[in-house]
Amino acid sequence: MSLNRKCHLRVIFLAGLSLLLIGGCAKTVKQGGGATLPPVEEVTKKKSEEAIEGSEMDITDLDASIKKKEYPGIEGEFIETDLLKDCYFDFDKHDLTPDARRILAENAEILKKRFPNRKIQVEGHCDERGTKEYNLALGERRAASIKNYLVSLGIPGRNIGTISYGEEMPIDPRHNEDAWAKNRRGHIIILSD
Amino acid sequence: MRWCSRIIIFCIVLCLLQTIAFGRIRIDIYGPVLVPFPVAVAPFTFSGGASQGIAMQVESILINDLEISGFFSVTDIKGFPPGAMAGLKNPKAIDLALWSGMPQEALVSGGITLAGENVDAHFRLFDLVEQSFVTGLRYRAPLADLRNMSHRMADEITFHLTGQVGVSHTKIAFILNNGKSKEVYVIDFDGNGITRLTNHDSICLSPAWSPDGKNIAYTCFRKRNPDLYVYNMERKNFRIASSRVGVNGAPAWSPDGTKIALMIRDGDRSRIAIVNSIGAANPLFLTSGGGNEASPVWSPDGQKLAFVSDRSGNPQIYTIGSNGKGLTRITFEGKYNASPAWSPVGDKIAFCSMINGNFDIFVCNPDGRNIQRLTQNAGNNEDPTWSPDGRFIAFSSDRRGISNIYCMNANGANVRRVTFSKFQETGPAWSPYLI
Repeated sequence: MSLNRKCHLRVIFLAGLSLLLIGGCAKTVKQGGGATLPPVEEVTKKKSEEAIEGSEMDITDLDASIKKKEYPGIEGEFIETDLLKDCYFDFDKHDLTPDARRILAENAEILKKRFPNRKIQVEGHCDERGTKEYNLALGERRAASIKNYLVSLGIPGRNIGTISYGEEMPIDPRHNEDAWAKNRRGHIIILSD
Repeated sequence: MRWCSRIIIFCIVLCLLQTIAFGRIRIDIYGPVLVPFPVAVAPFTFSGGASQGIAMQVESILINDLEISGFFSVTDIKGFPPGAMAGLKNPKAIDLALWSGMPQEALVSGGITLAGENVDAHFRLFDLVEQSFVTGLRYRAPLADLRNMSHRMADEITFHLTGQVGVSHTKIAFILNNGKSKEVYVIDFDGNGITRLTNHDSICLSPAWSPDGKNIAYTCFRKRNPDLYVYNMERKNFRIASSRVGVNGAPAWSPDGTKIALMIRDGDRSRIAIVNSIGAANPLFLTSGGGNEASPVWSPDGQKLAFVSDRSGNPQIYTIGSNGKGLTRITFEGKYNASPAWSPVGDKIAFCSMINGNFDIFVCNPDGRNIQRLTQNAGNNEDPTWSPDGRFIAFSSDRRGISNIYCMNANGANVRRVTFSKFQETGPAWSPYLI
């Protein structure tokens, strides 16, 4: 684990250096918490969409996609990577769509190859419609659906924690169908050691 | 926050014979149509270093409380003969005959004096039809409690004219989202005195009052888990009461204050469980499973709970005995019914229901019959909560674009905005009667 951390630090340093050299052109800001709770800390960020599209994963790109992060108001630092994609749910549903299963299968491969034996937390999120309390319950089931599927794909269940954020952390603060579709999501973070 | 333990009350006795008038109820509040009872309020006097400003403040809080109670129409004393006014200076010698013959059926007089650091406030209530003194009370409290004192005067007057304690001296807890965090706030029934309780700089949800009004339970995410917190009003601190992995959500205190019903994770889902209010004992799951469950509330006698379950495929409202027996589905129309709130009187359950994509508030009998719609064509209306006398329902509504707290009569009439911040306010919870 300490090796891992060293590796991350080096990656962060290199990525930070490259940002300086490039002059910030590679920087994109992602509103993780929507209008409600925007993320305060993004150490580095580099797009690596090509890496996941290609069948061969580029280890360098993988590392550069890793960033440390905190949610404001919530204790603890964690690691996030763009390589683990969010999956989406239908309104008031917790079962996995075919698209969600495909995304989670890709996520499972990345977890096995890049983060074996790391503890992860699956977040269940909802859109703003409906009551906050029922959405808290719905997020529980969404996270559990994801966990169960990841276990069926060979990720050890003991490494997967789940949490429901209900409708409290929208990724898109707007009040329309586009935003709602983005906010009904499952998100995976890698917990710090 | 100061609670009223610092207010000292004295009874004012004008005449021994007046005990006959005490407790005689002037308004039939259970009649089919409530005609506001006309009350005159004389300008409050001031002396002993008290300013006219303080006297006017007490008077205006009192008048507003009486008005928004819906029981009264309040007027000043213009129109009464000048000779009657003279009597206000010496209420012991007031000639009530001079006050009769006007539409007003009751008269309130009062005054303010300063007594050191404290304010001394009193009122007297006269029945103008019977031409009798009804009651009078004198209050002494720190200046900071002026608002609470005024609310208590209003509640006392309401009690003597209606037979029912008023709710002016109650508060509404809610969540205010300032864009950075979601914290627990309280505000007076009349929309004044907004006070922030929590400083977690985190996400708080679902405030719920303990039956003695001394604690507010809520859920907070600050330790990366939706844990149950309890904030103590007197000590102004909080403790974590339940931090089981997974949801510890939507707390509801039992009427005797010994237990809390809660959403707790059970395997893959959220279920309703009862824990003791210290948070220590193992949770007692209420149902035998099936479906995802949320939002428990107790019936006022503590014998039953209402809650939300999606065991039918979508969220609907159910009731169950607090012993886990007698599960009954009570809502059948629509595909999304949630947020039950049991009237403190016991005869109604309010809830919200999604119709054409928007939420509105409804009430029904505890068995699900006699559904009445209370809001419509005004954005989303959610989170109903009853005043302790069962006459009002507070709720959140985004009818003005952002969500604020509103209040209406239990029949949906007289909608009044309670919160006026520029932020999102949700999850109102009406306090019990406060001491």
